[in-house]
Amino acid sequence: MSLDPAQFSLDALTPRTIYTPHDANELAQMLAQCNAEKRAVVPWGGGTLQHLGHPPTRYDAAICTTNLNQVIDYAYDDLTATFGAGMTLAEIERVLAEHGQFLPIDVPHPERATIGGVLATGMNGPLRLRYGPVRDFLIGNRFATVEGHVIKAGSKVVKNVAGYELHKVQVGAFGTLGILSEATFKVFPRPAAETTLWASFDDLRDACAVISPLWRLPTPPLALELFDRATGAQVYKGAQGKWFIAARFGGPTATIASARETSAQTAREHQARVEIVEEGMSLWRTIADLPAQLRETQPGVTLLRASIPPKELFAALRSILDLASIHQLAPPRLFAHAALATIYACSVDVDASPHLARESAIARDDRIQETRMIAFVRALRAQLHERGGHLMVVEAPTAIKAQAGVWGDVGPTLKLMQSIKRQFDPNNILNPGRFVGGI
Amino acid sequence: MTPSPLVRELQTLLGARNVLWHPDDLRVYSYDGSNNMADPDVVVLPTTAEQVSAIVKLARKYGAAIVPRGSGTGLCGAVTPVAGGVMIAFARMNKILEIDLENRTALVEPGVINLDVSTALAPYGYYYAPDPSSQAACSIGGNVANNSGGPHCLLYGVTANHVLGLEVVLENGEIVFLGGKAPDEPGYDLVAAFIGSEGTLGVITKILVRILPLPEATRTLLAIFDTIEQASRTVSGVIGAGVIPAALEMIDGTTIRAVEAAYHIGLPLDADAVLLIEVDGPQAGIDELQEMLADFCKEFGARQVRIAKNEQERADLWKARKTALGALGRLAPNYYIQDGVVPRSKLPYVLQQQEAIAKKYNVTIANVLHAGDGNLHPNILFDARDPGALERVRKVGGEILKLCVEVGGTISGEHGVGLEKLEYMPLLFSPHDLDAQAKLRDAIAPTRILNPCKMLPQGSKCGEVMRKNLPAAVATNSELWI
Repeated sequence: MSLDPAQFSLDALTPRTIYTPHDANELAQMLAQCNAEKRAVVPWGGGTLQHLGHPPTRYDAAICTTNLNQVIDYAYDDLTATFGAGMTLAEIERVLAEHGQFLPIDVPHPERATIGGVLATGMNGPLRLRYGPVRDFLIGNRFATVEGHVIKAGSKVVKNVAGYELHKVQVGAFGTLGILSEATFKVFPRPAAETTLWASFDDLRDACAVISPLWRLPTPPLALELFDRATGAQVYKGAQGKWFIAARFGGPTATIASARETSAQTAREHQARVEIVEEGMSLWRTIADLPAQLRETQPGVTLLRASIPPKELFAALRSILDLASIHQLAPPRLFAHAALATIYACSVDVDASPHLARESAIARDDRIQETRMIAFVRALRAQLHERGGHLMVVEAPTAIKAQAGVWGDVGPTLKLMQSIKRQFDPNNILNPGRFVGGI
Repeated sequence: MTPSPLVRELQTLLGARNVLWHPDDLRVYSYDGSNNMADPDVVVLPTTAEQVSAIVKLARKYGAAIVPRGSGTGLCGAVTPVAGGVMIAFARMNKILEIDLENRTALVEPGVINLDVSTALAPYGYYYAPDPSSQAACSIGGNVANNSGGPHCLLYGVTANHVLGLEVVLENGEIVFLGGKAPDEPGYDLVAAFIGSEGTLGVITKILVRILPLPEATRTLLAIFDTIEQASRTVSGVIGAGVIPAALEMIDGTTIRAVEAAYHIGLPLDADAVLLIEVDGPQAGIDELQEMLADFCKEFGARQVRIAKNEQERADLWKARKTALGALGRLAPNYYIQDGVVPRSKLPYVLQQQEAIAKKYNVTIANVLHAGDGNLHPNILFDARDPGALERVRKVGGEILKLCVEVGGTISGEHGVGLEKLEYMPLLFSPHDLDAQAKLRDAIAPTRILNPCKMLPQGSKCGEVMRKNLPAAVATNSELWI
């Protein structure tokens, strides 16, 4: 693994030191050292999600967890497992597959993404629909604190109510309270059989109308995803239609046979052309990769994530398209975790193609596009907020992130969050400035 | 007797009928389902979050502890007001405010009874999954404060997996809403922090719960075994085969004999273990699943497997489990119920060791278990009139908890820490671990005026100390989060 500091740069800031602790105690010592010297630290796993959040306001050292990559405990007949925070998702999958088990975490770049990073960013994928967010099957963890201790939170058994749920507070905390060294999960048996319904629609309203009935089927879907024309064609070669729904079902063979029939029938009742995909593994792998795929397509991309109550899906999709048009932006690429309502909207309006000569005309166009994009993000965030939702800027050129804001306003609870931050990181050395409200 | 200045101000705020301060009234609120008792100084019954906020501010003004109370069914003394103070009872905040089927949520007040939520949802084909055994009496607010479980949490998860949002009154009286109907709220997961916090971080005034469609079909089996060993191996076998039932409960021989003596449901008196297994889900495939489970039980030595053919028979089979605690009255006037969790695979070993502990102290233990989760409820039988009996059963309880921790488990799966388990927290957590938890508490509720002396060990005289020191603590912390 390269220890070239340039590999750990974040938005023009390069750390002077890269630490690669070999175990949790070394991790805690290094963190304590940095704290004593008030040096700003970015915890680093596989680096696959470092584009999230604001860039750090200070950056002296990266602490890399990739050596903390062992299976610490795997009780396959208890369906629990503890993994080092630096283990990749692919390696975890391999270990669990040996006993027909798995962790329902389907996010991009599993061969590089670490479980620590997934937990710290609170990332989830399509399987969240059936299994819940990662936080729901996390039963305990350990994390290093700026005081140099490795703190145990939660437990290693599936039911525990002793103590505060400190392990869950670490999820989605973006490494701003401590650095995870290990995590314990409830693991799941793989469904005996799977099938996928691919439904094509000409009308967005029909596509949205089928989501609730599919979600309500006696065999509830494992995942329910919606795609626009371009994204659908990218995910499933040869797909014909304007909008698509992919519904994934799993369970015993008899149950799947019934799910195949009833889901196809339900979709047809909503004007869909349907296909059954029996070997869906590679399709679902592609779908899980989409958030990365979209942002890595070309430079200058703006990728947004809108989270809304399930009922608001159609209205939110229309908002995105209408507001883009009002702000003179091309319609963004769209796909969504349709039932629990998370929409990814991807715009490539800011043209930063490296092969074009950067003439002043193009640069001026860029700035106009940037201004439009910032206004679009602000307007969309306001509309989503009115509907009980919120908007995160996943990826964008620096100026857009800075001026539109990554997170939005969390409201009166910010004081509580700042108070928690002050307790755990009084010198503000962990990922400073990257989180909500300037934390 | 004249009411104190605090009581008088509360009366002005809520009306005299909703403020209880006479000793006879207070006595009713001094206990919960455990053996702990203490009188609050006053009990109030608000109807709105705004009233709760005003109550909190008044309590602060007088340096009085604040203890929120649901139905008082807790088994650990989490609601025992050891530092006196203002007990906020939620019996009048018992409305279901909103049912939102499309978003699969319901918004309820904290005093709503758990079972009433599912009853209200049933006509729409939905239900609220967490089903603690006390669900006909316990409140949703209490469920959230304790992160309650129940038999069906094996498949569906505990309360924490079913709460999407909370309205809480913080210790300075501010009302905030945490979470919501949309996923991935930005910032720290404050909803997660509050669940299981036993009333120490804030007073919950509304809960946004996740609701689920009722399963299409349910199948229930009861399997009778000669030995606990056989039943435990069946449990491991089922789960190891990748089948997660909706519920997997076990009762032991002592409990079986008590249940038979009390209710005559037809269980053999010489059996040492009964397993109750329930699966639910789509109609398609459920009969095959039921067959497979029956076969498993027989393979591991079940002498008989009974399958419920309809709703009535299902209720009958569940009687074996649901009447268990009540039936123990046949064997002894009192029981002390424990609540340890161990890895499922360690169940046979732990139950064996537990027998040895029982013999050592000359007590009888009747076991009722959420076997699928490894969550034991040993009921240590005794007669409170015997001198030293309570002390002895507490010792037995403590040894069982130490055993659970030794094999990699925990000291509470459902009942919480409250007062009872405070002394055992150091079995699980080092001083630094406890310190980190204290940081979380101090960030959100620094004066410790909310349900003092619970969750984290703070010394045996904590109640008296807090009662004395709260007024000063509140005075120095009058500007929070500055």
